[in-house]
Amino acid sequence: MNDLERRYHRLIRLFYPAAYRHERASEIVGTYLDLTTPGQRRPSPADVADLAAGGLRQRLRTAGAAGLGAAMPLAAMLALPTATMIAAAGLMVELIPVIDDIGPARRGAIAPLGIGVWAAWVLVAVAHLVAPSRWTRRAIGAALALTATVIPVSAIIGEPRPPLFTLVPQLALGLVALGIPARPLRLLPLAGVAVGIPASGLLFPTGFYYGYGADALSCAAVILLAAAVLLLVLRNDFRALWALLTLLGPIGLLSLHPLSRAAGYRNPTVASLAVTALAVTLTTSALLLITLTARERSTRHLHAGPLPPQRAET
Amino acid sequence: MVPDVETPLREPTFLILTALAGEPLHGYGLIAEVDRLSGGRVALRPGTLYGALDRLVDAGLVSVAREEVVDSRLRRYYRLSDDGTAVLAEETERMRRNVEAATARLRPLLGPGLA
Repeated sequence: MNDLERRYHRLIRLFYPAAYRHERASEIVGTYLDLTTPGQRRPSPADVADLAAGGLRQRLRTAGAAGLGAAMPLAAMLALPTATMIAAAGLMVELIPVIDDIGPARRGAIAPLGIGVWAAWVLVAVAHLVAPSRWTRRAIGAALALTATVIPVSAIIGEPRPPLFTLVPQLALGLVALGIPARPLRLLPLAGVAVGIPASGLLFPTGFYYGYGADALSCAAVILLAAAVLLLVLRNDFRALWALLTLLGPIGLLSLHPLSRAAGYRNPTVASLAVTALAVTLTTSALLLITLTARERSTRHLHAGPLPPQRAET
Repeated sequence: MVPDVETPLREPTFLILTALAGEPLHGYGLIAEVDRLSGGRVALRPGTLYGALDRLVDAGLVSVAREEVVDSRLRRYYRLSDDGTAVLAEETERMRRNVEAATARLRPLLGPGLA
């Protein structure tokens, strides 16, 4: 094996999953070597980019074969009603005037950013009920864009917005909700809204996001976790397991305040919440990847590429 | 069984199936044939080619014909399956109808010299 061949093998080891390269590395490297120009000593940048893209495609294909893709609709059907429930509760917080003795009374009209964000998510539920199914994903995309945009916009124009500990889990729930299937239970997201309106009194009993609200969001996390575990018990299959593992990220992000306190921060600040959010995202992503890799190894022979029909030495 | 493949086929996929309609080919042979069929316009790279072949094998449009070991390196030959032949014929017919429709509309604009 010459240096060039060794370098191609090294790139394949770097980018491709183990099962696939075990089956195909020799074939792929052979084809690259057939295409090399005389005197070439290293893979070209285009070859590196091609192998990186090919490896990524193969990893996605492996994940799909493991059932991750099939699990997305299940996870989405739990994430979307949770998102619309929180949105409805948030909308109530923004719209219902609060009079207290520690500050001026708030009115919805002076918090247009919050109203806009939460209304966009409530509209997702309406779109899912009345519009053709392709509009649900478009509405989710628009609500996600609005939720993400409102953070820098608030900083630029100085308008108040819902706190990050509500917006960040909403973004995570929305990303998972993008996997919503074409024609699931059409009333499900609207049911989330219907629950969210009266639940706003429980989630945000002071009428503010802070205070009980920060902890009460973790009640939504517990309900979502219980629903995902129940799904796993009822179905007892890998689709439900992937759905549960996928939802662990949003569930953790809904619990930022209690998790932050559990990590030793007595009074969580923006910085401590950001550290907790990062830790939750990394931990839940790593857990999903480790489980996927273990699943891939256990089923290596099922999706390692085409089976060789016959072999002839020349 | 209906093959699990999205139609209309993308051009590289169409050209790979067309190349394999001639005879079984290995990776390098396929890249060279696609390059020739497209007049040098579609230059497949191995990472892209094998990704496409994996999808086509999964969809049942292509299968492995045989394997050889040349200079200690594995060489697989791929061939078009019956389902692959049917999909390629269907796509070719769809494109032929489009070409005929476009040709008929263009003839008054460009004159009888249009093929």
